Amino acid sequence: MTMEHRNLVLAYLFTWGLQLAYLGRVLLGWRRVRK
Amino acid sequence: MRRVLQFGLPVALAILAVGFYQAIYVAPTEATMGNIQRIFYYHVPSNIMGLLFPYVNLVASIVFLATRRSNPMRAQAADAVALASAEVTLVFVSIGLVTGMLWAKPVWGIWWTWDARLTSVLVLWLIYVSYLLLRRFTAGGQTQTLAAVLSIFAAVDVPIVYMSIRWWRTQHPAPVFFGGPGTGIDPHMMPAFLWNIAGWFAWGLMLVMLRYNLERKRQHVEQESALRSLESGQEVAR
Repeated sequence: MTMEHRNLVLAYLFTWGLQLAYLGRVLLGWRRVRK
Repeated sequence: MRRVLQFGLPVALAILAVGFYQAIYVAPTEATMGNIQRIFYYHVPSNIMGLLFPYVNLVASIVFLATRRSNPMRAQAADAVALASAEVTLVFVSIGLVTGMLWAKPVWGIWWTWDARLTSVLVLWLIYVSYLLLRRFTAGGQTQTLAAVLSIFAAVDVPIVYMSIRWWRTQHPAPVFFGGPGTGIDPHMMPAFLWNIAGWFAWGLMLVMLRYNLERKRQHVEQESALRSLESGQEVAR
């Protein structure tokens, strides 16, 4: 795998990883507040 | 909350799925950079959202400052919008910075340089990190007011970020859109770009609404517990 392909994959994974992690944090916070 | 999740999440995911398909399988390969240019379809929309949501933060902060004495209920709602938009801004700006570095290494040969655009975006990122640290770790009644004032500094940086590649021609590529004659992208690349703009906008809006609802709920819980402790204090005093 060339650096171009590796970095392209990393960029897309990082974008989704961070966005989903933040969504998860908000949903967990919601569960905590409801208790 | 549930309605935002039931309606907003599937809509945002559907648009982003089309955007992903367009970016990876439909958009043509760029002639000089090759496939690494496909980072553009996530990098640019993330940065646009990172320059859009600070203005939501600014408007909410101004409403908070204007109404914090005259209408505290409205001020609290505005503060919740400000907090939600600040967090979402930080997520988008972080993605913009990291995807930019991942693009830069194979194209420029370096991960980072102190170019006008990169530096002004880093300043924006640092302001929002400070904003959230201020809100998280300061005690006392002035936290929200100080945060609202800090958001004005962030809003001042946003036009500098936007104009940096027009005012100073350094390392970052020249403006692709609204850059004058001879700029723009291949029309076959536009659908991928526009789908991702729409998708990340819908996603960002959904996150702001979810985070706003959560903050409002937290404010209500806090108010109720303060009221309960006041009432129990009065009973003890009797």
